[in-house]
Amino acid sequence: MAYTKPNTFADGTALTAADVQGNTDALRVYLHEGVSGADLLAGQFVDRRHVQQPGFNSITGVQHGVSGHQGGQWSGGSTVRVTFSTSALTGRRYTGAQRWEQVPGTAFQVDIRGAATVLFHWFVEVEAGPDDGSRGPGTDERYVWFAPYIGNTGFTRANSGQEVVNNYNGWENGTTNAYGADQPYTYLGYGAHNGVYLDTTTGPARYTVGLGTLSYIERVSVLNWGVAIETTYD
Amino acid sequence: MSRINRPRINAGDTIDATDLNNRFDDYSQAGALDVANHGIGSVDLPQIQSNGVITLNSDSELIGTGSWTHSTPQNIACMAASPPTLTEIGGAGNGRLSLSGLAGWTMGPGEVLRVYWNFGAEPNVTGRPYAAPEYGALAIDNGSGGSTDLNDCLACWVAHLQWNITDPTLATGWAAVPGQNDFQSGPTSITQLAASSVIPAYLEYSPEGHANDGVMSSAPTQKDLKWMGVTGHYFYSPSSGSVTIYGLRVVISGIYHAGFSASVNQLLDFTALGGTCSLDVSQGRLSALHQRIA
Repeated sequence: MAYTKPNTFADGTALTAADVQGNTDALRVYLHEGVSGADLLAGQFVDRRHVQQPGFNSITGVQHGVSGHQGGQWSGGSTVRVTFSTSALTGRRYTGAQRWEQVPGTAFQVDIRGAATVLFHWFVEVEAGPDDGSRGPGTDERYVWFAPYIGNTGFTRANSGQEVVNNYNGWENGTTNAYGADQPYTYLGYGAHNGVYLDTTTGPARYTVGLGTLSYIERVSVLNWGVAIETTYD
Repeated sequence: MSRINRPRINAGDTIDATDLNNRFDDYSQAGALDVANHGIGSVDLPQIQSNGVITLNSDSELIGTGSWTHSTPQNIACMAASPPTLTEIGGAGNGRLSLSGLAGWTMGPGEVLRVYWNFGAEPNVTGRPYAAPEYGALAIDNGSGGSTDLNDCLACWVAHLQWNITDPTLATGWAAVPGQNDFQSGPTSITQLAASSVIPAYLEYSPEGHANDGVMSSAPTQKDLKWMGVTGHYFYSPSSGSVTIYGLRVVISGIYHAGFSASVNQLLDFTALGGTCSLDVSQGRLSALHQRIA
C-alpha cells in the first residue's frame, strides 16, 4: 500500500518536531516493509549504476554483495585436504602450558563494510588418537577441542567449541584370532562435531574468523571439515 | 531515472509547509518507485534466493555452569518415574536467552527464527542401568547352548529447546517450540523432535573383540562415555499471524530408549534402572537470529 504521510503541514501553523518525526517514522516503516508491487515502477526498475559489482574469492569460496558475505570451503573439492591438531603445539603436555592454535586452512578474512551480523558455521570429523603416551592427563581424559576464534587465537570462543575424547583403547592382541579393535573404536575415536558462532560488528572492519584447536592428544587427524561464513549488513 | 530527485534543503534555505509536505508526498505516488528511491541496498545478488535476507535481531548468551574445561559441571539426575523432570541447563535462570532485553521479537510470516546451541556433556553410569523392561536387550549365542544379554545401547538423553511467548519476565510460561514434544505424555514420536539434541547415555560391548563365529561367551563390558560436544539448531517461521518471543532456553531430560510401536518410531521413558545414571553438563552458548526473507 502506498505511503501516506500521517501529518500534513500548513503555513502559519506551528511546526512540531513530533509531526515531522511522525512522518519520518512512518516513512521508515514503509520503506522497510510497506512497499508493495503496485508502488513500483512497471518499467525498467534497476539501472546498471544501481548494481554493485560482487566480489568472489576463489580461495576461500566467499562472495560479497550488498547484503553481505556468503560462502565457505571444505576438505573435499579437487583435492582432499586433511588437516590436523596435536598436543605438541597446543596442549603442550610436557610443559603443562596450553595454547590455542589455528586449524590450518579453516580461516576467513573478509572486509565488512558496515555494521553486520556474522554467522560462522563449522564442522569437523576427527580421528582423535589413539594416544597412550606417558605424559599428560590419563588416557581417558585427553581431549581435543575445536572452537571459533575472532581475529586471532587469543580471542578463542571456547564456550562455543566442541570436544572429542581420545580413542584410549587398545587393540586385540591375541595370537589365535584375527586382530581388531577390542572396543568400539569408531564410537569414541571418530568425533563428528559442528557449531555455529554468532557475532556482530558495529562498523567497517577487516574481520577474521577461523577454527582454533587445543589438544591434549598427541595426534589428531581432521579427516573431514568444513567452514562457512554468512554476514548480513544491518 | 529516479522519480524522487528533489534537491536537498541546505542550511539557511527558507522553506514553507509545501516544501515539507512535498518531501513526504514524493513517496505516495503508486506505480512509480524505482530502485534509486530505496538505495542500492534493496537489490541483492543472486547468492540468496528470493530478493534478500534482512537481519532484524540477534542475541547470544552463555549458558550453563562451570566452564568449557569441565570444571564444576551441572549434574542432572535421570528420571525415576514418568513424566521426566525437564532441567534447565545451568539451573533455573542460567540457561536463558532473553531476546532484545525481554522486549521480545515479534515475528510474522516471511520471517524466520534461527536458533543454535552447544554445550559439553558426559554421561555417568554406575552399574548396568538396564533392568526390566530391558529395552534393547539382544540375546547373543554364548557358544554353549545359551545366550548372553548384550544391549543395543540406544539409551539417550535429550536436550530440547523451549520458548517463552507469554511471560516477558521469563518466570513462567515456558513451552516446547513448535514441532518439539515436551516428553510429558508418554512415548514421544521422533517426528516431534524438531528442536532436540540426542546424547548417548550408555555403552557396553562384547569383550571378545575378535571374530569367533558370532559367539559371545562372556558378560558385556561397560564402556565409560566421556565428555562429548553437543550441538543443536532450530528454525521457525510463522505461517500466519504473529508471535512475540521473549526468551529461549534449553532443557534436558532422560534417559530414553529408542522404540517402535504401531508404525511409529519413538522414544520410550526409561525408568526401570538397574544402576544409577546422570548427566554432567558444562558451559556452552545459545544464540538466536531473527531474519526477514523478502
